[in-house]
Amino acid sequence: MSEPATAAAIEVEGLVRRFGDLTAVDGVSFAVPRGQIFGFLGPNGAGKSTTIKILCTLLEPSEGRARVAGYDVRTAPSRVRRSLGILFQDPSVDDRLTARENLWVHCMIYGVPRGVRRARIEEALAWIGLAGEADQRVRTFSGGMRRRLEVARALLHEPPILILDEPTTGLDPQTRRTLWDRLRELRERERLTIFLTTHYMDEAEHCDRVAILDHGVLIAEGTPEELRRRAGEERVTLSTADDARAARELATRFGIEPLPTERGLEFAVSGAEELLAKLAGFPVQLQRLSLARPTLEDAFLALTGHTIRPDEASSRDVLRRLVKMRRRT
Amino acid sequence: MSTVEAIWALTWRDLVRFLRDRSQVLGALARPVLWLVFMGKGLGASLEKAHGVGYQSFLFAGAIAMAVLFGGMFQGVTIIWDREFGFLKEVLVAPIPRVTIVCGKVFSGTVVTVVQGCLTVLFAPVVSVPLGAATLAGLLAVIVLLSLGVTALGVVVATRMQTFEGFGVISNFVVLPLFFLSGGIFPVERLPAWMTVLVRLNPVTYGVDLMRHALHQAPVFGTGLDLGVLGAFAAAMTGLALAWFRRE
Repeated sequence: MSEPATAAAIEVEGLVRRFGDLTAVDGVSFAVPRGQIFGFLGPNGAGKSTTIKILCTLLEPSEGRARVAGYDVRTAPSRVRRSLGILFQDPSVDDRLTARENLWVHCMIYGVPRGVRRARIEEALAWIGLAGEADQRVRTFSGGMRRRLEVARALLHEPPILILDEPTTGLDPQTRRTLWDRLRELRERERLTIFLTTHYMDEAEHCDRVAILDHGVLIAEGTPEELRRRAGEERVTLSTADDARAARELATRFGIEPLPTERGLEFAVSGAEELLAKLAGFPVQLQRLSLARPTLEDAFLALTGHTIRPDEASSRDVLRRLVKMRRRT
Repeated sequence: MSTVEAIWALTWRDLVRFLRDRSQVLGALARPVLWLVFMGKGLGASLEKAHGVGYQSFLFAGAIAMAVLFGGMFQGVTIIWDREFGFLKEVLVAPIPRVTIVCGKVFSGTVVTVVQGCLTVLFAPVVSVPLGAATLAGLLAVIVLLSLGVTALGVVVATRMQTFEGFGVISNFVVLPLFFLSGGIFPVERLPAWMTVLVRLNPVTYGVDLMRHALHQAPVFGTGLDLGVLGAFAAAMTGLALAWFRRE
């Protein structure tokens, strides 16, 4: 505790947000040091978006405190907003304006100094590879182009902190990769702090630190490596001539409770040598054995007891998306 | 400084959106034609003169009021649209106060609505309404004040509505009654007492009456009363929009 409280880019203490009877965020605390990429991991409905709304002052916390760039979201919302660049989960560009016009409006409402506007907009357009399409209406853009435009727009006023809510949802793998390359480049160059939510586990691997949120509660926090280790050292997939018998043998001989899957029996061990020693003289014929380092997906499963659920959009969300899609055609 | 710029940016955006939406521009042009030509000629054929002029000329003030009512209400509720399609969030997280956002919306909506009202004025020769400088100035003043009040009313309605589904209800239960009971499409002097009460409670009535002053079409109330009610309506609606949008 030698550093002052403002050393962290984002500080959240005992954050609670209730909606009627529902507690969406239930006593969450974490801190994001400056210059880090911090990932907020969790299934839909875990409270990620609610936390983000509180951080960008769209929602008031029911209890607890949240500080962004040293400013309290409750008492200094304007200062907080000035320190943030935000990429929302849902599209928020104006599709009747061109790419350049969207950036221009952003400069005006975010108070980007008049003298640097033109240069910054041109630079941003070149950076996201949309210089050639700058004067086309966003209506004609693909989802990936819109997303890139939103990223560029969020950075236009040079905020020290970038908040990304599900930044790559709906993007093709190549666009996802370029987006990540750019975010890391920015972090190196500008010491930008990036706070993001995702339910893509492979994306969480890009983060310096990851926090896992489930049902509004923060259940684990650490580097991706630390979290993976909590799921065991090695993941073993074993297929045998008789998986059912092999499972019984594993349980009685070594006390291992393997998980039967379509690939075979899965379980965790602390090291390869230990495993090989155990399997010498195993009574069931082994057909295939593979070892893998646990993924964050495994860690998530180990920590929460369930997999990160795929999208469970409510019917209202589905309808809204349909309307949006219709508008785009 | 930055507040003025933010308001200008929001206004510019709304203007551009309006002008690029062909159906809105077309609607703004077609509505007065439909009313003034079809309604005016059709109904005028079997009507006596009203307020000392032919029915088509009488309808002129009503057509302007209608353009402002529909245009302003629509501009106000575009907030729902922006909320639904995300742009409102971009504005809400900008480092500008809520008051600026509401002022920007009301101002930009008023500008777009004034444009629509003025488009209707262009049809004056079609319905043989003479336009002098004084008449034009008078009409413009009414259009500006009425546009401000109606746009702010639209914003107030928008803060209470979560989705567009209620929009049909709004136009049926707010816009049409305000229009029918404004003295714009029929004279209001010989109505049953209960309707007269409604007509007098309707702020749009005073806007139409003020236009009749400018058009020399036998107005019913004094200029002072018309201006007072219209100004109070615009101020009250703007105040309400500011108060209610704060909770957005």
